[in-house]
Amino acid sequence: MATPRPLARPPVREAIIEVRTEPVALESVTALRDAIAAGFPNATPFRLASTALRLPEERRGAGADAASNQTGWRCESADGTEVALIRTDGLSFGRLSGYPGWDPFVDRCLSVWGRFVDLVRPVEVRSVSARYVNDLRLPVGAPFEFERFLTAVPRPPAGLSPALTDFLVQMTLPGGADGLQVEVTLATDASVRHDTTLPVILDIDASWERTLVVDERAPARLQEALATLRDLKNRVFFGMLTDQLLDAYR
Amino acid sequence: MTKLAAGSRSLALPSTTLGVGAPALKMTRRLARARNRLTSKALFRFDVQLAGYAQAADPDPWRADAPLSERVLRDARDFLRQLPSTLPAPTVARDDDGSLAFEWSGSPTRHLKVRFADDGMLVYSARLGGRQRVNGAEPLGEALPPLILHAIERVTVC
Repeated sequence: MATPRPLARPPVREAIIEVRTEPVALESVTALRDAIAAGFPNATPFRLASTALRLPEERRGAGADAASNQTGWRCESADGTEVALIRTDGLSFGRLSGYPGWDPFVDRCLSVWGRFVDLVRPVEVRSVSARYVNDLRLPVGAPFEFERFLTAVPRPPAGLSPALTDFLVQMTLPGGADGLQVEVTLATDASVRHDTTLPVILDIDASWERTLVVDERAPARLQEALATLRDLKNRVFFGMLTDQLLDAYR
Repeated sequence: MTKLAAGSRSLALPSTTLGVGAPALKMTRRLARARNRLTSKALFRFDVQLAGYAQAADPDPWRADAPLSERVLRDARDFLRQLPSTLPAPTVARDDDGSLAFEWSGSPTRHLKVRFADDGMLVYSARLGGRQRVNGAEPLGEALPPLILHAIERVTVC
C-alpha cells in the first residue's frame, strides 16, 4: 500500500461525478442544454444502446426510433475537456484531460448541478457516484513482477508458469455504509503495450445509493456524500498502488 | 484471507456510473464483452429469433409478421441478459396485438407472460395457482423487477 499524498501528475484519464434523480421530462433537460450552452457549446442527443449495460449509443444519426429513445444531451465544452451528460435520470459531469484536482472539479460539477436543480427541478437524488479511470504505466524491465507496483493482481493457478499475458478483474467491495460500495476494475491494456511500459487501467467507481431530498439542505448533503466517495476511491487507489509506482506521479 | 461480504449483483451489470469519454467507455465495453461471455447462455438462440422479428418486411404493425421496433428488440435482449442463468429460459412469441412476449409455463394453473411495450414498459400477467393472479407494468431498468423475478420462480420452480 502506498502512502496517501497529493500527486503533481495524477494518472487520471477520465473523472466522472454522477448524480441520479427520479425520472424527469426531456423538455426541461433540453431547456438546461440551452441554458449552459455558453460553457458547453457542442451538444448532441444522447441515448443508450443498452439500458441494462448502460452503454451509450455511439452511432451517429439515427434510425426511426432515435428520437423516441433520446434520454438527454451530451454537452461538451469548446475545448472538449469537459462533458456534461444531462439526462432524464440525472447528470454526469466528466473531465477528459487536464484533471484540475478534486476541489476545482467538484466545484464545476456542482455549478452544473445547481443549474440542473434550477431548471429541471428534480425532487430527489437517488444515488451519487464518483468514477475515476486511471491509466497506470508499469515500467517493464527484468525482472518484472506485478507485485512491485500493484498490491492486488490475479495469480495464475498453482503449477503453471507465474506469467500473465493479459488480465481483466473486477471486484465489488462494500464501502462501510448502507448503499455505499466501490467497483474496482483492473485490466491490462495490451493494445498499447510497449517494450518499456505496460499500460494497466485502474477503474474505480465509488457509488452511494442514498435518497436525498432536493431542498435547501441538499447542497451540503451532496458535498458530504461526495467527500465520502472521494475518501473511498482514494483508499482504493492508494491501497492498490505501491510507493514505487506512486513515485512516478509525484 | 478474503471474506465474502453481504449483497448480490447480477453478472450482467458491468458498471454503475456512465462514462463520458473514450477511456471509461472502453472499459465499460470490455467488461460488457467479458460479462456477455459469462451470461450468454442461450442468448445466441434468442438472437436468431429476435433478428427474425426485426427483418420482417410488412410495415403493417397489426400483422403477425410486421417488424418489431428496434427498442422492443433491444429491451427484449436486455431482459434476457438480466435473467439469472439459474432460471429457465422463456418461450418467445408474438402476442395477439403484435407485440413481443416472453412466456413461462409450469403446471396447468401456473403461467407468466411478459410483453415488451414500445415505451420501454414490461407488461406482465401471471397465474400463480388456482386463485392467485398478478398483473402489472414496470419499466425495464438495470435489473429485473423483483415481482417478475418472483413470478418466474413461482411459475417454474413449483
